[in-house]
Amino acid sequence: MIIKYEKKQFLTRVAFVLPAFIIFSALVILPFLMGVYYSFTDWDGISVSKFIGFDNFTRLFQDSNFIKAGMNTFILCIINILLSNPLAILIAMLLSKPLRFRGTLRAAFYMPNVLSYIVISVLWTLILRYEGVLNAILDTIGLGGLKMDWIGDMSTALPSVIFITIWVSTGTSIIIYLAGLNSIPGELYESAMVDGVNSWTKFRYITFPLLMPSITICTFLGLTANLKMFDIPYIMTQGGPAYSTSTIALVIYDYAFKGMLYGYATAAGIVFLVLILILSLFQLNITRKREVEY
Amino acid sequence: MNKPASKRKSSTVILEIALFIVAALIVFPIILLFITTFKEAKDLYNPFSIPNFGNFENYIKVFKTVNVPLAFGNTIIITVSTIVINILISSMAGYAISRSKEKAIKLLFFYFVFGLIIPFQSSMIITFKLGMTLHLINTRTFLILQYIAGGCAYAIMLYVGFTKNIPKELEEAASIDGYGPFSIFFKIVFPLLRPATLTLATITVFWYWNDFSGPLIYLNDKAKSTIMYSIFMFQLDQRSTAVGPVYTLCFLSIIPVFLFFIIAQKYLVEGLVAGAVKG
Repeated sequence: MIIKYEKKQFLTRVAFVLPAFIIFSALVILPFLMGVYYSFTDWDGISVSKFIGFDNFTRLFQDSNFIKAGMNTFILCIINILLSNPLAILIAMLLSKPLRFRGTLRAAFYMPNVLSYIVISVLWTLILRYEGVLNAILDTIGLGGLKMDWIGDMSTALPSVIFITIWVSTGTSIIIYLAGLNSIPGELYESAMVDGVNSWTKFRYITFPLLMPSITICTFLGLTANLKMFDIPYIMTQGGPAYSTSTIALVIYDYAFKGMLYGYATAAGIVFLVLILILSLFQLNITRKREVEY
Repeated sequence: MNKPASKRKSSTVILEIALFIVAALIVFPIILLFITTFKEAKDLYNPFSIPNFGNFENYIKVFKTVNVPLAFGNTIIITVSTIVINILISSMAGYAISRSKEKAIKLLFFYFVFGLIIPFQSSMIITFKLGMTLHLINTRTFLILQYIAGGCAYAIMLYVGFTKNIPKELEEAASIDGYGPFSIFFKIVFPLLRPATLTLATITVFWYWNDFSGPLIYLNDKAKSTIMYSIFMFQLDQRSTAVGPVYTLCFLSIIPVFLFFIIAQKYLVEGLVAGAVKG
């Protein structure tokens, strides 16, 4: 009797899990596993694919476009993390003071996050293109000499893309840091005040270490989102000029849907997965180590 | 006694003003977008030209060239169906995984978590080919299925966490009262999972409303195009000619998300923090 009941319970659970399991397996896990197989072939979608061993992978590591895209993606992530986090911590610390209009300010800082990348791209093209708003402002204030084709010039295209990603990601980080700051016990600051500690020391020895879990989350989110950056370069620059803004995700898309190099692009996708795994584990390892218990 | 108080107050006021200036700089591009929609083609890039708020020329052009209601309709259908189905199947799966004693089902948790790591780029070609073979490419159904498959892992994680906080006694009592497993779930557990459901719904509305790469690969049929893909196509068409209407379409596309953001801000912030802490 009891065995029968347990079996029924088990079957119920299976029935509950089944719909999600089927959709997830069919459209995520199965394509991924098939991708692992196809990454060892010269599949092009038309002729019968041939097993070619590690050829795709050895070719990838000599592919200057892929390496360039990898470098760009890496630079994008690092600069984004290094600039947007200090900025977000600073703004969050100021916003955690008893100010009027805190809600409004917080909403304003978060605003870029509700926009889609296509709107963001169109919006910043309006500002950054040669005939755009930024150059018009520079002209008016007498700095016409600084005019640039911000997204069309080799030297400024990637920095412009990075700037836009910072504009987007800082808002999320501010909200996470605000929550982190709220969870720091006030007594710590009170005892620091009794000891007559200055505000830098307070930040260095209380706020910063206790904010470390939030820093872990924000760098992780920033890293994973920007490693997969596709939309902004695809829409604004198509990776140009001269591959200066191409990213891994963009190169894989181009190989797959413009070059019809299915096997090769799938191999690049697998390398991409491994890169994401290594980099995010590395990042978690660094920041987690610095987290303290209190 | 009075002096330090007023001094602190003035420093607070300075801080408030400074923060408002920074916030204004951040919001500036969005306001610029709004203003630009009321400008004539020749003044588009001149930030100092005065917009004419009675001039709806750009709006009229958008509605003439792009089927805006259709694009909105498609996006709403896709967003709503994805979220409803995802909530349904993920809450059931998350609940079952959280309550199970069997190893096999418990291990499924890691199976789904693994899916969170796989980037879209590693599986998109195969799913694209799969869609071609099944003649499902360029159907809303296939995009919805894609979204559910891609989003259910995160949702299940959320529901597994929330189910742990629901006391089992409630279900046992209901079971004694003769409730079957499905009515226990839908009548007792699911309503108690409301915070998770609201969090999930508010966060994911933005994912699906704003998604671009999904439609780019799986749904580029004009008649079924989402609003974001319509903007993309429209700006490709208009690149050489008038861009004013492109900005107008962009502005129209963000009105619903802005309204939703204002209404759901509280849940969004909570969800972001909870999701971040748990993730």
